[in-house]
Amino acid sequence: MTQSLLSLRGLTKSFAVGRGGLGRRARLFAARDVDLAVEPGETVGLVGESGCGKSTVARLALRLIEPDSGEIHFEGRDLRKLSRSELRAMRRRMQIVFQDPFASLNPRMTVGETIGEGPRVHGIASGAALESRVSELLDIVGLGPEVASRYPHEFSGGQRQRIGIARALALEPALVVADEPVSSLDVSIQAQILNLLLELQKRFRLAYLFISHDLRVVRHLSRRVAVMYLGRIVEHAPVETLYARPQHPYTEALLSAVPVPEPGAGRKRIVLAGDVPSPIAPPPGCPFHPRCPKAFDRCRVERPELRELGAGHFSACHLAPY
Amino acid sequence: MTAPVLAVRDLRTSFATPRGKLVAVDGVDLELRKGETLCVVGESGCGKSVTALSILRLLPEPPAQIERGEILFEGRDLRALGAEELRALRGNRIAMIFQEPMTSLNPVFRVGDQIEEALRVHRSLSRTEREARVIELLELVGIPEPRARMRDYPHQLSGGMRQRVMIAMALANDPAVLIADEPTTALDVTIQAQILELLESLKKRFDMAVLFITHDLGVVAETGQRVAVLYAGRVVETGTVEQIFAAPQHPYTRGLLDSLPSARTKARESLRVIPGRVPDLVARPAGCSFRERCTRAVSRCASEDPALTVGRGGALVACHNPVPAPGAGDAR
Repeated sequence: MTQSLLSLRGLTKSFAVGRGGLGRRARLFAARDVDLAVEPGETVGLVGESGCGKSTVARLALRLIEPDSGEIHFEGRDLRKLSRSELRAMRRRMQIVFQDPFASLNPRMTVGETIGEGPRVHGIASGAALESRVSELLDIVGLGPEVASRYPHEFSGGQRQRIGIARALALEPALVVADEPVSSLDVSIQAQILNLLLELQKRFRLAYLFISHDLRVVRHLSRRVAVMYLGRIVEHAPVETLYARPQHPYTEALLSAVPVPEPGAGRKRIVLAGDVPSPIAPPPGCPFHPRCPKAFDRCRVERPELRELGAGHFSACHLAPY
Repeated sequence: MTAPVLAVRDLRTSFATPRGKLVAVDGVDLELRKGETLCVVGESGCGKSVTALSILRLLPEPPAQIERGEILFEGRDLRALGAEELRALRGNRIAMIFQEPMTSLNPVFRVGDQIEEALRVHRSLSRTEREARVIELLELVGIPEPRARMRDYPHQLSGGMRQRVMIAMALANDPAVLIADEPTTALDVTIQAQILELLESLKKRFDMAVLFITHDLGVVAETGQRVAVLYAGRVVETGTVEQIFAAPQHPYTRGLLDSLPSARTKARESLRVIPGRVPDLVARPAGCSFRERCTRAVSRCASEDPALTVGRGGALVACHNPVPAPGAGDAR
């Protein structure tokens, strides 16, 4: 088997959180034992609701935050074992696009400075060569070269997201981690950005780790999808399998809760009871059991491991047909 | 057909901005009948929230100004009412819930006290009667252990629970009309499903009329009986949910539906997009506001602003060259 572009193994990240007085500290496990691989040129979707840990995984994958334990291999090298300068060189190959195109662009830098910063800092281009590289990147994302001298506040959300994408592409990465890149955009603009991401993937053979709460968007882009709940991956499968035959009750409920623009589609909506429990004190046994319509005794005491059902389909449920 | 409980006629609301007058709502007509949910759908800046806020006169005037139009509630024009009479209606006969319950609830008061206030303002009940009603309302919206929860502060509750509290407050005085402005947009999808289900059951139980404002076409399909699609401050198409989704007649509605990735769109292939973006509402172009983004535009669109007229199946559409019925001639 060829080597994955990115592979995460047993990644765990916890944060200390203050609780009560007397210096008692609790730990919040934002990601626990996460295994995930991304192959060159493919899109892996990572979905889940607020607080499930998907953005933590994005940041861990780029080593923007340090894991407690686990391994991160990128292009065959263990990112955790790299020196500072080696890591910096490696960062050229892995970039991120953020959700909020308003917060993620420096308001005091022109668009050209923002996009050109990477190549300049890495000593790849300067002067006229840098200028022409910036124009080229703007053209790639569908903006004119004249915007280089303008500031972010002059642009709409969709245009700013194009600028953020141009910045990510400036260093010719192999992997782009996209953290909810279209979530703050209106549908007509969202569709334009999704098309751009698809076009760029084909053109530059980019791999995407695509993080989103929107199951419709994830289905459209991804080849494989992992579903997270309370810091753990609970199901992971090729996209067609996951959407057609989910084998975890949480995935099933999540899919059924997405409103479909087809009146009278006659679907059965599974409405889960209650809220997501606190990740500081996750329930014993299966973390999903308090909300699970199918839970039985074993689920309350024993946490199901993520196991393969066949053909790259993994599920962490006692009821899955292994 | 029954008379509408709420009717908006030719509403025009503008804002004074440093760049000039921005007309956010430009001649909107809506009719809401008892027991129905009318969804108002559109993208950012289309005027859907300004329409809702204009109905209850919740916009700061100035910079906002309701320039013309009628807002008829049970036959009375709300624009003719004084501040005192309006206050008697708001939160009583017409209630509203918002997208972000955290900003609509007061963080320094217990949630029970905030619901009680809605009762105190509009009804003469004793303290014990009010408390009993608060507990009843919290139970009604599915909050477990209402006696304990009524003493919580908003920050102690989850987003879904806070939205339930907002709904309890809105229902306190048995409103005839509930205006819901993106009530599930800030919520996760499993919590959204809970809140949509709750709103549906409450609407049936109390025979309310709901004006539901959303940007999400999926939510429209699952909650509404009728839809009004807004673009650049105008209703461009209105009809039953079935009409709008099965055979949209306005190119903008068609474009919105096509932009959505779904089980029907081909995975990992380009979506059909609406090119460009919304026009500047300070300097609205002549003719149809959508024409610069429209694939069906004809020469007439540049000179003549299309009026809302009766189209197929009785739906209303504002277009000189509407999308033909599926299967007919040049259907896309």
